[in-house]
Amino acid sequence: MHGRTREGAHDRPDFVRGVVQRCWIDGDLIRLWTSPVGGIRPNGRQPPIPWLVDLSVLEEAMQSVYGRDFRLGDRMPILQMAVDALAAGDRAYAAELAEAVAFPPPDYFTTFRNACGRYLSWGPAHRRGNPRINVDAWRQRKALERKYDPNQPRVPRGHPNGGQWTDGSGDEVSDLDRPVTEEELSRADHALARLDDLVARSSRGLLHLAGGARDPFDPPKPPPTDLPPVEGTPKTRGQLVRQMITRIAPAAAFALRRSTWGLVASVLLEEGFPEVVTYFDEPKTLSEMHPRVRVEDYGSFDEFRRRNPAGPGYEWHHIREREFGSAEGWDVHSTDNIVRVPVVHHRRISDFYSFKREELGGMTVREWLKTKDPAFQREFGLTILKWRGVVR
Amino acid sequence: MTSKWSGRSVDSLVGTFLQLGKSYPPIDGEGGVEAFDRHRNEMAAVAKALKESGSEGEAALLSLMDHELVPIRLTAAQASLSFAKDRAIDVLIDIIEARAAEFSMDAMFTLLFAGEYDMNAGPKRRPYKVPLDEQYPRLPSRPKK
Repeated sequence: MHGRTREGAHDRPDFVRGVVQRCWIDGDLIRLWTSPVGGIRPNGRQPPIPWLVDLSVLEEAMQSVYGRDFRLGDRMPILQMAVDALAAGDRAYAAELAEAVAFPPPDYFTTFRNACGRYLSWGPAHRRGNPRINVDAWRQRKALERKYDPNQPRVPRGHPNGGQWTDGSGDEVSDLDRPVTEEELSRADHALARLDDLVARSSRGLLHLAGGARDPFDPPKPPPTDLPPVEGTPKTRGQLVRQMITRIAPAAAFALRRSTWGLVASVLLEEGFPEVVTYFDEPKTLSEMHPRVRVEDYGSFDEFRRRNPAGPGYEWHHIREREFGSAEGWDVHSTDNIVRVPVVHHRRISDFYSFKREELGGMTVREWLKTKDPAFQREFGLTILKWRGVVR
Repeated sequence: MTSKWSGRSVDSLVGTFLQLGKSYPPIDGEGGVEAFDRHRNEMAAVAKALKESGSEGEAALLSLMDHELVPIRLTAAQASLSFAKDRAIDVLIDIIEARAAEFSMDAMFTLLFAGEYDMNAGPKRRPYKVPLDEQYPRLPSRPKK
């Protein structure tokens, strides 16, 4: 296990395979910091590779150094976009693209190792029992931070959605039931146009928004078939969000795998559609979804929610429904029972609980669950979260 | 108990069924969850009438299980559970594994009630998957010299 001891080296994702770990703009150069195949060097340090003008030369050079396993292939189109952007003088865009080159999503091995680290006490010491950061969530959070405005008004205390961000008109951002405004419709058009533009700017069909897979050996999985798409002009914000989700789902299936999702997400966040972004969140572990603070320390759940808004595009969800109330050893407002879930999934789960089913003699699923014991209620709630693809 | 669909011809029932399957209202539409749920129950009632109309209706349900639309496949499979259990379970598992949103939860729930779903382990019976060895048969090993 030589060379695995240096603190900090493990903090960067995917250090095991040869991947780009950092990519940044340095003057007129684009610099890459990579890790070699088969583990990091004993000193844990890899010299930054300066940018070469010709991409094919760069790729050849890296493959000769690191072997054919080097994974730059996926990222070459993004690098090309970054070069184009830099040549056009758009430094901010180039920097954003350079960021997208690095930090690929965790692969199977990483996931496996993390699981071992957490449950079998295997892996680097400082990671044991300490889940690694979710890269996509981290990137989204960064995008949100850029957008975060401390002066943005919140829904006042006492309101059911107290503490949530608001546009000041009294409607919270994540309210999917209210009528859609003209501004939102034009913003949606603008967002989709920007995404199309992103595709047009990618020299090798980076996002495949329109055509789907062009790589026959690596076709993206078809996106989950959601409800039938909304025809015509959407009437509520929820319908608009659903329209956008079905519109970009093919691209999302591709971009998520190509780690270019950050680009798509940042466009959607800037245009004010966090619900669309969070819908495509990778499944998380429960510990990643529980609140970071103890809910029991607050006087009430509303107080907790006011102080700790779930954030744009998310809502706090009770695994055992709120209505079931607390039982002996099963506090409904305990930290264990509360998770932060994407708002669209939250709505769909609530909807499912409201279905009247023939098997239940016309009872709703919620009414039926009320008759069960708390352990079953929790297990059922977790199963539903799994099937929505929220929990893994 | 007779429903308003009993006594209709199989063709007319299939037509209605397909029409309902294609015109699912949005769950966040005007009528909200209730309208969606009513539509869902209406479809289930038509499927039940089809099942009760004899072997011709059952055959129609079996063929509807191959339809491209998820809600049509789902409802047909739910109604066929009593007479074509294996096939229906396969279809339901396919819908679950395709993660078809509301419909996969619906399918999961149906399996749960049929006693074919384990909340910890998932569906009790998975559809037959061609083993890797059959997909890519091994080449005969090289004869030793």
